[in-house]
Amino acid sequence: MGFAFMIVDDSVIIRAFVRKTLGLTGLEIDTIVEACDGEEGLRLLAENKLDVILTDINMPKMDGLEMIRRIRQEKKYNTVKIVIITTEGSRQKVLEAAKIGINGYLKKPFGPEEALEVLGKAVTHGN
Amino acid sequence: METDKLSQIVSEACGEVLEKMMFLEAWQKEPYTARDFVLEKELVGGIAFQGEFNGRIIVNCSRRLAEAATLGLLGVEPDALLEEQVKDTVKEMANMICGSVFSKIDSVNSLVKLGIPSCVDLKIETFPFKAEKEIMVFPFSCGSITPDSEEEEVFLLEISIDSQPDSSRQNQ
Repeated sequence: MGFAFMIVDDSVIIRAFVRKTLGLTGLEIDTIVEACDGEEGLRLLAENKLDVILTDINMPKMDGLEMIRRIRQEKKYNTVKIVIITTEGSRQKVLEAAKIGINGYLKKPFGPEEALEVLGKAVTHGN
Repeated sequence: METDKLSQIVSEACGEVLEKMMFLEAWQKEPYTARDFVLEKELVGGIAFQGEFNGRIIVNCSRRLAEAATLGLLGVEPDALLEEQVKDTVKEMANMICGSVFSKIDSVNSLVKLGIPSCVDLKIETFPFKAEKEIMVFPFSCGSITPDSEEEEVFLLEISIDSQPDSSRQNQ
């Protein structure tokens, strides 16, 4: 059985790029749902059984960090792996995200190899 | 920051973003300064930044280059391209290059908070921002990007910095 992914990004082109890249990683994928901000991400998480969330940080309405905080407050989502996709690849920003519970990060620009490395670790080891 | 150092960082950032995600090569040409944004091409992707540095980075490119970049990102046929995707690509070029530039300037600390990127089509809209100070213009060539033309495709990466830390703080 494959993984169920959610891509959360306000950019339609980045969502399409991540969807394409996921297909190139070789990971077994059952479903991919897409959300354009943190609010929609929380709604889709409640409606779907998801394994992995790939999320941008910098988004309108509700940003990625706030969405992650809310997800990590809910015990029922303990098994959901979260990987952030960010352009702000500084250690400080990543540490801030790590404190609230992420399982990996992908710094743009990235390709299928980097995605596979990060997602593979996230789904097998949890961090 | 010295212009030579910034030029090198910008060159690396643009090269990585275009090659890794859009499968385009880019070679930096001679940088120059201008009194305001140079808007030679049809599409402008821009993003503001605030923090240790305040200002804006824009990418000014042709529709043809934006479409080639979108095709590279998505790996689809040209007929399948949507206008929203093309404009989103130009936004993301500005976003990713800006993030990459600042993380190369300081890989430990977050120097700036990035705004939400936007894209303006100069054929139907006016670019709404003016530079407060002299801006740095970094032209890049992508060579010929279509098989039926040898015309060199050039885009501009422009940085407007309204304020930056003084040297005494930088040396602390």
